Amino acid sequence: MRTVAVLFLATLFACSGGDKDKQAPEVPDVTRLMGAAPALTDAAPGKTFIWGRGADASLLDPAQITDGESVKVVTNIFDTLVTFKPGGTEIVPWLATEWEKSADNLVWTFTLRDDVTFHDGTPFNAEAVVFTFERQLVEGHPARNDGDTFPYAHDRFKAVQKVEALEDGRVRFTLKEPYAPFLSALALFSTSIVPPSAFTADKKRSFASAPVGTGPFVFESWDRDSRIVLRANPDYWGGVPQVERVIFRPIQNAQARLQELRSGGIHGMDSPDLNDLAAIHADRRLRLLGRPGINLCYLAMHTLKKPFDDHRVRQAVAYAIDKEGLIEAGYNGCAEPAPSMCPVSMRGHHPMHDRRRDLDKAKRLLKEAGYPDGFKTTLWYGHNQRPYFPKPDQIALHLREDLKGAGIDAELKKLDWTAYLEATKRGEHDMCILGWMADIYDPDDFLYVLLDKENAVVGQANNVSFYQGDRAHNLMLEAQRTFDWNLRVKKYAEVQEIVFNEVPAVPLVTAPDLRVLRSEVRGYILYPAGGEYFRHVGFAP
Amino acid sequence: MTYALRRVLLTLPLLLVVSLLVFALTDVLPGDAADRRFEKHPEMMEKWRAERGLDDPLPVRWVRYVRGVAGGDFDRSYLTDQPVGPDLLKKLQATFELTIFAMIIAILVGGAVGILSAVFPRSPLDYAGSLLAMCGISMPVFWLGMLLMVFAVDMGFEYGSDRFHQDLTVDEFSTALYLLESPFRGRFDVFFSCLKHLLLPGVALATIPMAVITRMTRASMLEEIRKDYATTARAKGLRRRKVVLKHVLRNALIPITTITGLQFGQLMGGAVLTETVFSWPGLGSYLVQKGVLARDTPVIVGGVVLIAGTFVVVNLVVDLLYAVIDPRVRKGAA
Repeated sequence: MRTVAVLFLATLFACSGGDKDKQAPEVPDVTRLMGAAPALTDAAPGKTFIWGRGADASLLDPAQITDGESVKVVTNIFDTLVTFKPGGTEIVPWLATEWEKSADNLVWTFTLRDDVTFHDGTPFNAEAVVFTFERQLVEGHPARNDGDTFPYAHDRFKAVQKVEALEDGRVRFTLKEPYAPFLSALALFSTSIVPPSAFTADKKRSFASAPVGTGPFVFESWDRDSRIVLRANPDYWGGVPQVERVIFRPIQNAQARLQELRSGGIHGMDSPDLNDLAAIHADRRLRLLGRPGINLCYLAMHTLKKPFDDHRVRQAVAYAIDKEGLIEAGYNGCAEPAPSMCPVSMRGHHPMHDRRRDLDKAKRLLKEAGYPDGFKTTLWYGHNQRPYFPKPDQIALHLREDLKGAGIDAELKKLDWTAYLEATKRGEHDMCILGWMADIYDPDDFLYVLLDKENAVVGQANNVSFYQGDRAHNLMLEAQRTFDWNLRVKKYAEVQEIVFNEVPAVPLVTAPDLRVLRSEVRGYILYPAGGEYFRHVGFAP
Repeated sequence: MTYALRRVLLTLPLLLVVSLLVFALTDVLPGDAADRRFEKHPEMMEKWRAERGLDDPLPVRWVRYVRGVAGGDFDRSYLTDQPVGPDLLKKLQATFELTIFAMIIAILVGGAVGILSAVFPRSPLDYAGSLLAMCGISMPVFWLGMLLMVFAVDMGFEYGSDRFHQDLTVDEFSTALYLLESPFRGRFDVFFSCLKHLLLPGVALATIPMAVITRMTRASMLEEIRKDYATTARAKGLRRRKVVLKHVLRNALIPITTITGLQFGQLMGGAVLTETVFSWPGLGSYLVQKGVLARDTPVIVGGVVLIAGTFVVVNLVVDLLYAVIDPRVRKGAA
């Protein structure tokens, strides 16, 4: 027994002694990171690029998915009519070379490329585009399987009345009402063009696990929870990719993922553990890339329930929160405070002078509202880690302590993720911590989705503050119908001012998008609007 | 023979009971993957449930399920509508290979250390063996796994998760037991790659059964070694090695075999931590990720039935081994 104790102590001593000699590596400033690896000049051909991430894809039918892990794969297999400029958010032509819209903004006509074929050899044409949209929009479409759901069709494309193939090979979309984010929505992965030939009665069931697109990579195999293999498309219209194969590997544990990256088992990964950033930064074999994320973590208050029906109480909550402290406690210092419900990284963000923590002001507001001794309430949160919510418990505890300073006693309620989402959609909470990541690159995707009263339907609410503000509502609907960007920006600025004063929710932070690559990887570009695009990626010779 | 036959026949009702239990238990749980899938379209869910026959009474669904499984159909996922059987069987084979590998390490090392500890009690060798066993039992697998990984990377060992190197393909293989099948196909590149990828998770997984086997072997051997027949054999002039390996070990083997069988069964279901740490695409992590967390009932039921089935089969093999080791078991049965 004594031998064991001595050995144990010796091991402990040896472990702790080593640290003293080493200087702790410096934590990098994530706001100054590059968003792309060096460009590929002279490629080493024929290699496999392996990407590690936290989970496997759920399905590979672009029209049916909502999870980020599936999106990363389909953006490499499929193309959309328009897309994002590499590394940017500007919409550029892709499968559609040009477009025009009618004076009333209701009819959009797209000219298509004529040199594109699907991976199964069938041609890409206007019929395929019509088919892609009709499968999602027309009830009872023959290409549907029982139980297929198209989450974005009735949301982002509810304005679409019909899609037609014109005789000259162009495609015409007719809208029921003007919808300014329409072009941005066409860059969304869910509109990836699929071939009608893959949806015959005998094939349609398997499409979601063996997809066929027009993209730079051809689907090869999927060993669930182990690997998804794509092969370079030798006939890709946009140029043959630099690597021969791409493999997506789910490695759940972020530290195990990093070890595998170090050993060369994978070449790139996302979502590193924030505690590892300093070590990654100091490791010469690795390169840390980053960008301000297009996401938002916020604290919502149920504005139809007491005491949050009084805007002074909500303002008091906003004054009670120390965002800088929250970033230290919950994000290892790696996040940006969010002054507005439209993140800084999203176009249309209105720069505002954010509130600083001021407990006197908070208490005064509470007194005015009739709560001189504060009040008791509940603060709900989900137990899952999300990119904007990396340390659930620490974040919730920090907010509880901040609120306590103003006399608000918030009891924490922690739920399983699915149950949590359901409960908040039903409005069971008083306060809750939630986040949002953009689906399309448009301010509408934050402001309308999270704050408009049309999205406050009990049971399916995304506006979990159940905020009913009419002025903001009218402005947001007007903005959806305004095509002059400068005019739209003004309307969104006004909305942001209104919600800043009425505080249905307190915007907390925006977390950065982080990637880690091996240093020999070239040409990787971090796309701010989500998805992964590996057609440029290669290796240094 | 009748002993063996009776044991085999007994496993069938056992499996039926297990499947019924899992079926009933998952039925009682509130909510499943379909609720989430049809969150925005509750009207579609009713139609979908009716078509999948999920509104039928539990016994009807269970009989249908058992019939399906007998024909190799493990139902389709509630989340994706894809059949779950092929994936489950593939993952089962991955876990099986990992478990076998870990058990071989555990039996060889644990057995040898246990025997040596018993033959030289209270010697430095015995103490070292006890220390090893204690470390094995008390060290959390996920921590040991991370430690092994860090050391491997730092020492330049080309560590890789998954089952073999990414550049290899195994399209022509007919099973997912890549390590076992590869020599028969002459694919030694796959064989060595599999071996390399098995090493770290195998060692991590082996620690607990290794410790248990060491302790059990030591205790069981010590008890036998002190018995009169062993002393007599030595007095007759038989060499110690022969006494220990031929007489004592054989008599000590029954409890060791029992515990080994139980450990093997336990590893099949308990490999989930090791599988998660090393991203080994096995049944345990699949069951947790795609079954329990996603609440996909067919994955849960299928996974548990397969694990239970393996457990039952392993115990059957152990029972049959008793008869080989100890003729009295055979005769008693007859």
